[in-house]
Amino acid sequence: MLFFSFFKTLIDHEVTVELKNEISIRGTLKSVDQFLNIKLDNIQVVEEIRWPHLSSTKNLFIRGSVVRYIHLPSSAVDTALLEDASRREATAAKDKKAA
Amino acid sequence: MENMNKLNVNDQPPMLDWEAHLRAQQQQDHGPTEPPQQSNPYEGRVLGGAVPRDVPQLPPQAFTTSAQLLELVDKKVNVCLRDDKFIQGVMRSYDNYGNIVVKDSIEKLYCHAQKLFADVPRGMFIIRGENIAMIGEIDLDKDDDIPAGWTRADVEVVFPLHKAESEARKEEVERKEANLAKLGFVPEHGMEF
Amino acid sequence: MSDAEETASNPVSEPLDLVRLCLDEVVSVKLRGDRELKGRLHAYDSHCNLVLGDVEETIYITEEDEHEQEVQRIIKKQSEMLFVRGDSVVLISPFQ
Repeated sequence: MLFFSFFKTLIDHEVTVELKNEISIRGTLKSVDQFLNIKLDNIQVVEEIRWPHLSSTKNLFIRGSVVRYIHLPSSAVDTALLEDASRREATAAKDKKAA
Repeated sequence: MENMNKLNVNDQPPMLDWEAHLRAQQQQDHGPTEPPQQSNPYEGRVLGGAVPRDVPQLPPQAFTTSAQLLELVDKKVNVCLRDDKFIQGVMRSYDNYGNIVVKDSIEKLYCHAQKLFADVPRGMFIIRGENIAMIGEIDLDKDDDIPAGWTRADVEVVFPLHKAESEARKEEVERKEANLAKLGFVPEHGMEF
Repeated sequence: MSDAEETASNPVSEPLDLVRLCLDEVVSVKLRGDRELKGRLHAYDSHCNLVLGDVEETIYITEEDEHEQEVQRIIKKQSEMLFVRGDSVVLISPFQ
């Protein structure tokens, strides 16, 4: 749930998604779901020459399981808050398991 | 729905009762809706640290797989599969797993060496969600544009070239993985060739 | 409750707790597919999804040169802030 919430805060930011098949796509993050599937608008394929297939595509739904990285703008990220949220999520998960 | 045979690519999608549909989908996906967030010691601060914006807040139901795929129904889409196949067609339906039905589909074959491409009509597909990498909505204004530097050719010409290219790439990947395994690296299994 | 007490008095009881200790530290992450990352760990979860800051990515490539010899080379890339999907992660360790 942590990363789902995290990505919801990044809606309307420009991100670059690198997939496991080496395609890199820059676009505006429009939507995310619990599986971290994402929707990007106004996409621009990095190294378009290699992938002509997407020349007529403007919006994309990307399945979460094929994502390798997502490059984020560091200005949009509050690292202290993220770290704290990670600790709390980890503790909550452990308490739930122990219960 | 009305007689499906009368529908075609250029029709406008029917108006749906958005809220009712999403509520039904969400009940199906998740059961009863989750309780609202508890009071937050970080009141006012956004998890990602982004400046709070004056954008209208989307209802939580918008952040589901169903909501994302609903927007693509009856649109012409470009489906990119995990084995690097590209299928263009009209997406007619989907489910929670991301399985989709694509009608009037065309498989696009690209030969990078000769810069040739061909279309193979394939009819109706049910595509299992786990094999999908991306679903792109095609801009109908740009749909007929040919990518710069590429030429359309006959299927009979392109298909054997494409197959040879795929097999050469597969062999190269296997060779590289064997080499890197010696260095202690594990191959990625996200993409299948 | 006894369970909460147990958690408090036993802060490191499972492997992911070691990752928690690395928050805000520089870590080295080994990934599937011949890649390694070095960066500051800002977030993680039970799937090993990560957010790293000031990241350097190292990619190992084998190529054939003119003499048909296999050569290894590396490519390095930098990134300000990176989300890494957990299914690629092989190991996480504090960077020495």
